[in-house]
Amino acid sequence: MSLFKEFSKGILRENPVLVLLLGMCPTLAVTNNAINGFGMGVATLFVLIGSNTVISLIRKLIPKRVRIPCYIVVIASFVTIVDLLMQAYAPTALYEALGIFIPLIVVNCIVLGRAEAFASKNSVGRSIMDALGMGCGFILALVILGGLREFLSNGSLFAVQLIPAWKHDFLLMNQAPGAFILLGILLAIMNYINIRKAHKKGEGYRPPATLDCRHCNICKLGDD
Amino acid sequence: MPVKKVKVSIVKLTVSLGLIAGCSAALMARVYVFTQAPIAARALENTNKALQDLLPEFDNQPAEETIALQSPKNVPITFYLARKDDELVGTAAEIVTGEGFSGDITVMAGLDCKGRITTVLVTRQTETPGLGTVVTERKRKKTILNFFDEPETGLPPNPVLDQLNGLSGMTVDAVTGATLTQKPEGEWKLRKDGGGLDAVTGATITSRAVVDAVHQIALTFANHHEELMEH
Repeated sequence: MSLFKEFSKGILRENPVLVLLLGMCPTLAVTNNAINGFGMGVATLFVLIGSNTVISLIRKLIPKRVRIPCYIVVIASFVTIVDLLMQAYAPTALYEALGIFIPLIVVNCIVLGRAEAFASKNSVGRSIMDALGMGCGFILALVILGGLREFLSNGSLFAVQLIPAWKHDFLLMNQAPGAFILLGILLAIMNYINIRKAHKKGEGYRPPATLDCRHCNICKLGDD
Repeated sequence: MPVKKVKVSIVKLTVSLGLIAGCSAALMARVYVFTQAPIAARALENTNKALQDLLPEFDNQPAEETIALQSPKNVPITFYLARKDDELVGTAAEIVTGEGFSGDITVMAGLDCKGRITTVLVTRQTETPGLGTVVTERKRKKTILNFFDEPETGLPPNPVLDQLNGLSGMTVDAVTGATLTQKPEGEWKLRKDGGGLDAVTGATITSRAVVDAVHQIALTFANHHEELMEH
């Protein structure tokens, strides 16, 4: 796969949230509005790029048996760095809105999943492109979900009130149940598009290879 | 599936994991040291921004002239002193109340030299968006109608917080020492609780918590006003 394809696959075809179903927790939690979703996406993108690069660089040095702890140490370090940098330089409102979810990027399945499934087996160049693609896809999913929730519950988008009369009317969309419902609808739309595309080609719909458990390996911690 | 028995050197595992952990720790320490100053500056900047809105014109550093007191309910309150030309022009107080609907609310209030509330700001809260936040937020909403207009100066209004301006907890006149005429009963209570203050429908607990927090500030000032004025 060309380098550009490594990048573009993460945006739509293998979007981490809408297709690979990774990183659901922060997706649901911080998408009350579009700005928070965007901030979270950018923080995760930075962590993804950092961890993919480092893990790909040292992939030949990590013994298979301790690879998961190694990945976690690297990822946790990057998240700490992002947390400190955001605390120092990001707008206070954004930092407080993201709050506990920045440290939780460590257990965001996207980061660990890509480290295990991709960065540990591919060159640095490809890993960076993969991280960029997955990160941008994550941002896209978060902004779409956040924008929808913000617009439906408040009539605003990126803190600009588009419909002055709507002010905290459809509050369900602002809270957790609305997040689940909207995410479900987005997933359904994504699946419908993919199935239609596959039918047009005359074949059945096959989920991307990386969704296959055999490629993931995270559950099989006991094996060598 | 048969279990494979592979000989793995414990030393190799320990060394590689230890090396990675060590390098990560070193990098994190470097970034930590590097960001300490901006983080402290940020915190100070936020406090100072709040103090600018709460206090009249001053020329000292209120963040460095603080007095720690206890409210009548034994909650710690920090008082910031503002001076102009070496004379006390007002104080600001900060209290964290645990009576919010979902978590702590940090309330700051500015007081004049007679112990009357001048402005109320809620600096930290995790209340329900759309309900509790109507009590605590001071935000000028940007709409498409005023998107290109210049932003207005001054603190955005908030009817629930602004109704507390002018109230005080003093029982004696701060200047003359004479006993003040009887305050109307329930000046510090919500209409629901028999007083005269408005709350937000559907956010009674938040409204009550904020009003009570400011009340505590006013009472603490009243109890310690001599000590504060002396400084």
